Amino acid sequence: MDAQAAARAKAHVREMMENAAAFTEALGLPREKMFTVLSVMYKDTVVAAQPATVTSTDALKNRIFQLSEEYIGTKMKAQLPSFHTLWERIKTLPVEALDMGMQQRAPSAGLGFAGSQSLMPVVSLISWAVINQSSLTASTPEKAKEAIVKEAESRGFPRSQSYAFALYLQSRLGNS
Amino acid sequence: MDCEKNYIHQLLVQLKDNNDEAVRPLMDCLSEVFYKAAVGKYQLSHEEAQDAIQQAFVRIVDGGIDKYVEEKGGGPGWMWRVFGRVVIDILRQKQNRLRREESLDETLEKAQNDILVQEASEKEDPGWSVEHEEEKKAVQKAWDALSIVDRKAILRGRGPGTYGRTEYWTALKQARVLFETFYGPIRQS
Repeated sequence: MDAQAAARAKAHVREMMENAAAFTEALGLPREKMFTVLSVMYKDTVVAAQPATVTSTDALKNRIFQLSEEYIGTKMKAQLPSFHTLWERIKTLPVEALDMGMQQRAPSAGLGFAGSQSLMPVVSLISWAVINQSSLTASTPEKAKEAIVKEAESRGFPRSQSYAFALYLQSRLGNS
Repeated sequence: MDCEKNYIHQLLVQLKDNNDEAVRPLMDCLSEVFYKAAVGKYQLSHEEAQDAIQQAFVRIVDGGIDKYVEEKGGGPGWMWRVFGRVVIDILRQKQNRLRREESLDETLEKAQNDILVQEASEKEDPGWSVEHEEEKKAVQKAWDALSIVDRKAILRGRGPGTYGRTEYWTALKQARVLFETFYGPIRQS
């Protein structure tokens, strides 16, 4: 967390406590009730979309790269070098191509090196999720999960792996 | 929003990613149970408990969150550990101040054990749940009955200057009227 965000967060903490204390007093309740009051006042707080949400093509691609690298580095570690090679070849493609153009089975045909065949659907699914991040985060967690599972299955992933993807992507994109 | 483990985890991930707004629902979810624990289990005074909660959240946003390991997904367990450390620090300071080693030693040891148990179970002790449901329900009803304008005025705070914002005080008065409608008159102590 950077210093500016930390300063803003600290200001929120102070403000919430001050507001809760004042409201508790205004209601005529003892000060010991201030955290009960605070939980009522801020119960419906909705966290706005991450300010760093991707807005430009480069930012979208960076996010796709980061998430893909993290996922492959954790779940398919042996293929991480292949992913880096693959990324060098596809990074100049439009983001829509990473998503839409790669949805067919055996999408990496023609990329010409071993390993890319199993990696391309991963990159494709993550691209789709990053492009659709705002609608995923606006959905209920259950609906977001269903949408990710459906997209994963359409790329040939088995159901169990599709759910694993949903879990991973929801944790990273902010809806679970 | 239900304050489930995964939700807390998500908020911590967002906070780590510089989304400062995530601290609000985190406080909403955890400050009340932290307070109950601080006062009920560790015998901290209201001021000490309030200080412990503020310190815990400040400690988290002031670098602590960078140590949160997303892959472990600790969520509330991780939060309890941070809070527990703050409580232990306060108990130690209190011990030094009062030089009453015998009684506070026990409390300190208890706090350390409880925090380990809490972290392992990652569940809220039902014994710490809200005592005065009726009162809380009345606060909730009053809050819900307030107009959006009044709620916003209260959440914006008192404002600068000697007297603050007029709309703030008007909203507070209205809240008091609504609260007493649902709960009955409050006797001033």
